[in-house]
Amino acid sequence: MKNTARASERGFTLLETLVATGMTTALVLSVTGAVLGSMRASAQSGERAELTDDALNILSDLRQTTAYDASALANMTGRTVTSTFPASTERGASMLTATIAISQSGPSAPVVASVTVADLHGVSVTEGQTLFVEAPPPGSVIDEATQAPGNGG
Amino acid sequence: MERQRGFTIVEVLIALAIFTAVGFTLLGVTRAFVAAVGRGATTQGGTIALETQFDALRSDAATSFAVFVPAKDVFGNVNAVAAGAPGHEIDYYSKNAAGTPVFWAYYYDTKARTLRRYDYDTNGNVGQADRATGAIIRGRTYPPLSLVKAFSAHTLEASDLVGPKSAYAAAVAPLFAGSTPQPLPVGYDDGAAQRPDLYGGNTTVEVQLATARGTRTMHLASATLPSGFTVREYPQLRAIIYRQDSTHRSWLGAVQKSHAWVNARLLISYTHFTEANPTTWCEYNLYGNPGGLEAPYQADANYQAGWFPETVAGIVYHVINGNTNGSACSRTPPSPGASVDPSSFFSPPPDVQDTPPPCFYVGLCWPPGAPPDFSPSPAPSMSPPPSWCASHALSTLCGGPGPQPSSAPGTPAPRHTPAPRPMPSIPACIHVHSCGVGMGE
Repeated sequence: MKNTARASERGFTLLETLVATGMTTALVLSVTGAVLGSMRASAQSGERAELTDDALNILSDLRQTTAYDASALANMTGRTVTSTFPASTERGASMLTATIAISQSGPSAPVVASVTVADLHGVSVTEGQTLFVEAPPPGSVIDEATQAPGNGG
Repeated sequence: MERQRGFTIVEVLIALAIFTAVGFTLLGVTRAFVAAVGRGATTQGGTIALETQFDALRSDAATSFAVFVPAKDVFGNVNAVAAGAPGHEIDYYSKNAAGTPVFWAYYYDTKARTLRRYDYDTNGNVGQADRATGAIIRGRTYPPLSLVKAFSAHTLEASDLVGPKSAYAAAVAPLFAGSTPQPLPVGYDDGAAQRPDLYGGNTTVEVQLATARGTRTMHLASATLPSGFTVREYPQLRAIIYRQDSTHRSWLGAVQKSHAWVNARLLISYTHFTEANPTTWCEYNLYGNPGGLEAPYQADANYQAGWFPETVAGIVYHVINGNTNGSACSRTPPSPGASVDPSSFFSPPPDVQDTPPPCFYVGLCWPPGAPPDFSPSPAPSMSPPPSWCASHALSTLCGGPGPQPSSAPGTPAPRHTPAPRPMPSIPACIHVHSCGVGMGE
């Protein structure tokens, strides 16, 4: 009884304290690491969202610049170009890489544009879209009523 | 009683130092953790709201005939001071099932820092459209996207997309090998009158939206080119355009003055869509003649030399879009490939003699320099490239392949059109007399 009481009154040794502290630190650091990892993933997600914007914007630009120009679309079909362009200021002064591939699997198959945008961190996004040509009247003022066949003449 | 040994002063100091160091470290980590969690929550919420808004802007573009930056916002204030200038509002145009124009806008309130959608009509009603009737309910509003630090929208013409105005020019331009895409805007009326700021075609609207999450850039364009209107059929054309160089002589030939006329027979049939053999042909003047293209054919109409460059493009512009009222119809068209006898519909004055004799050749499809109204303001005036010409209806006038019927999802078929069919080729039906050298006044 006396020994038990004496043992219970004994404090922690320095070694015990260091071990406990080390374990606590390890636990905290592991949790912190997980949190930081989550933050990095979130940041990468945002980065991917911005790269997706870039890819979609490039596709939109391709569509607009070829929609009325069959010759331009034909000339670029089968080509793949890789170029760099400056990232927006939000992402600093880094450059992004865009790889644009215009392909057509057959004469009657649709022309497909594939755009891959990558940043310096190795994050990349690929988006695709079909390109096609329509033939509008240049500088037209659309008025369906007068454009409808049979109204003229 | 046995004396209990406590910690030595060295042990206590070491322990205090260790606890202090660990404590501060843990405190810092904890504070960073809490801050990160707070930021994460804010960012997550902002990201979701931003993504939702971006999705809305993109999906709206996918269902619109035109995405444009209006000159005035929904409240009547100046939005874009000029074409291409940035504005705080982006608008969409479409039509409902009944064919009624439908407009909606995303308006950025700079004071409240909110982006909110508004539906509106041409009668000045602003609010939220009733889902059933489409009528604008004034006073009813959509929930805003808050905490928007900045919002701007401006128009990019197709040519801008490979130039310094576009952030993506360096990526897109190499595919064009030095050529520049042509801006071909397609204008709309708003149900009553044409609005200069309401146009789609191959224009793009660049939107920049900044939140705590950052700034995002988006290029928006209507999903249906040209802005929802699909050209399925073309009026059939038979045209002869010729130039005649003449010389007036007077004072027993001591004085002479050269003239150049550009004249034409231009006949259009709108009935070939439903008839195998068009029966109705309408004859037009050259654009710019005293009566305009819409007026009946006038034998004495002619062009001055300096007007010639705009002749063909002007014809195209007005033939495709022209009002057919008042034209002289039921004419006999010239045969495909026909040459022309100018005297049949043009009688030169007695003191004029052809110099040299008429000769014709297959002429230009698009002369350099289109007329100013070839692409209505605000589009710059320029000629379409030969590649454009080769793929369009008027290329048939030059022996080109002619138009290909096209269709777009959701585009109603033209009336009286059982089945679209290509316009038959009319090779070599533009003849330009170019034997004369130098066009005298």
